[in-house]
Amino acid sequence: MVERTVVVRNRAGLHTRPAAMIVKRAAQFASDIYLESDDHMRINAKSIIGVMTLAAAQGTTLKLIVSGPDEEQAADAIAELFETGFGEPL
Amino acid sequence: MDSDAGGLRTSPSLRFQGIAASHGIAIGHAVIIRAPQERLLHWRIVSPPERPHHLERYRQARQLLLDSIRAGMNLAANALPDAHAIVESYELIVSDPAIEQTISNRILGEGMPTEVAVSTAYDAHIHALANASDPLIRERRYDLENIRQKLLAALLSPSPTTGSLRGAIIVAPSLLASDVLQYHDQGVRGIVTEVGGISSHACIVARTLGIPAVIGIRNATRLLDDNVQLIVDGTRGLVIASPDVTTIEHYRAIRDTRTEHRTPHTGIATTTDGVAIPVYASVDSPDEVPNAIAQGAEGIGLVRTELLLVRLRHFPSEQEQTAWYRAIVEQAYPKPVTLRIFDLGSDKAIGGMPHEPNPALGLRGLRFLLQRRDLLSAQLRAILRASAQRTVRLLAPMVTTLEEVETLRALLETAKQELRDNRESFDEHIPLGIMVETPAAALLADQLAGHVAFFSIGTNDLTQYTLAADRTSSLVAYLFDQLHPAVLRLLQMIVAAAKRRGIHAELCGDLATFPSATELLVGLGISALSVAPTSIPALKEKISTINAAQAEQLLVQALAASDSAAVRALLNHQHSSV
Repeated sequence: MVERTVVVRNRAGLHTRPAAMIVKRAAQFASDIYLESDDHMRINAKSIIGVMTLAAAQGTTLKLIVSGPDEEQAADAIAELFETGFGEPL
Repeated sequence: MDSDAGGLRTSPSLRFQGIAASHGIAIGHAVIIRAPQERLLHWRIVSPPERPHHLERYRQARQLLLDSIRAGMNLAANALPDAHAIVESYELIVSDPAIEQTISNRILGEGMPTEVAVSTAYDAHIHALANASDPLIRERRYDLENIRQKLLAALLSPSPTTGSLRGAIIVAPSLLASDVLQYHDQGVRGIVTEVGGISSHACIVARTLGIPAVIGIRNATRLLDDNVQLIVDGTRGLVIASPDVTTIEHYRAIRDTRTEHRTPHTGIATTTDGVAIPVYASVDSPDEVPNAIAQGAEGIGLVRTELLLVRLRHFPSEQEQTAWYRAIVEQAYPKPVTLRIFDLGSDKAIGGMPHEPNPALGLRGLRFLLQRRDLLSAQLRAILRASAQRTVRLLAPMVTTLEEVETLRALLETAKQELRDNRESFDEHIPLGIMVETPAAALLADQLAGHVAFFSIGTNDLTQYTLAADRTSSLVAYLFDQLHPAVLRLLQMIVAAAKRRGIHAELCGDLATFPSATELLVGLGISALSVAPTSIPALKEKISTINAAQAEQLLVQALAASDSAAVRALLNHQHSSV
């Protein structure tokens, strides 16, 4: 299992478009991928409704939890999306 | 004239007032899309051997819906990149593994029939979204609601209604953006819905495709019948059923003239040499926002919040203000909105204000608010709450010194801290701009530009103060001229100062609506213009005929003119030589 800390960097937060990017990227991996908020709400990163329900605003810190055969690559890929602000203004 | 009198009526015509969601006129026959009847109240637990069959029914219904959504996505692929992303999000919702897991558990584990499992599983997720803190995320529950209805419809009648939709007006409870794309492809002329927001994805797509749409007509699918003739007036938000001959002729004439003089209603107006100049709308209330967007506004460049007092006839509470600002922001979303704090003075007075012999030079705008910090702080908090979607800018009127701006900023920071303490969401980085409408602010523009995020130039007041000519006096009306070279020179100073500091200098005021002045404003290098919604199409068209390089030359000549008459002569000459 891999755990990382990711931060929502883009100005608009995790709205529909970034949520869709996470879900599409997550679906490319066999591992189970979860995002967990400060208040211990844990959602499946392959579920767009889950990611949207997190409603994470700019500056929110989330825990990324990945477990499975390709967990390192999956964690890198999802963390990179957060790092680059989903290609949106920071 | 659209009165019903004297027409050859066969059935009484009916009018329904809704919300104008996509501009234009459509005439055609109604095709009613009814929500499926839900027979979900009485159900029995399905016996274990039959449960896999129920899961299979869900999967088939989901596949039908996915096919139809993907068809919409293919239609959007080339023409509408934004719509493509929107429709893709529906696909992700329909194939969401968390929802599938819930439905599968309810069918296989609890023995629910397919319809009940689908309905309750979606309800649970709709409920979760409805409680989200972000208003935009809350909005997405309507998408889930719509998808739930579609799955139920597919379960109840797996073969979708066939028959030609060419020339039809679709009347539906609500629509997804993918529905609008498909209906457009099938030749649908207009859209009427019972619910939905003006900023919903379906409305955005309708506007992009130029399909007239009216939303918010309650019970439309029950009040209207299939094949009745309908007129959809997407500009005024009106739907007329069974119109008489005179009314039809009237609307045909409007429709046909509009098609001939069709203005580029979407996209930022761009000069012939590629300079893009956003055109915003100046509005006084939330009701004006849908039309402003339909007229092609890139955002709301000025909301005169003091008009809320006029409308309410009392000083608005913090809650009333919050609701009102949010209504404006949500209707404009995702386009930006600039909220100007109360521009009150003894001419636009509230109770208890001092009487002054010369209100224009008195305690007004920011000056007044800095003396009534209770009112100012309440307004700042209300505006901050409306900024949670990060599309709001804050604008202060009647600034003459830097100290006023610094005091305002300190009060804004206090208001932010109050919201933080309350755990309320807002935009931490809300841009703060000032109106440049006094000669003092214009002359110190280079100093002020280092302390604010943008300038909005108010040419009406700037002209009055520069020329020392009271806007309201008919005796000196001959002097009040926004094209006076003294005013133009100040405008040039302001824009140049903003450019040096890398901030936007926008312009609101009557000067922006004078067709003869547009070229001068382009020559100035103005960042954006804000005008009344009705002036937007003509202004955008005018901008698209101007060459920015030539406009700069024209401005140089105008700045060298000795009086307004010389400026006008120059503009008229320019006009006739084109």
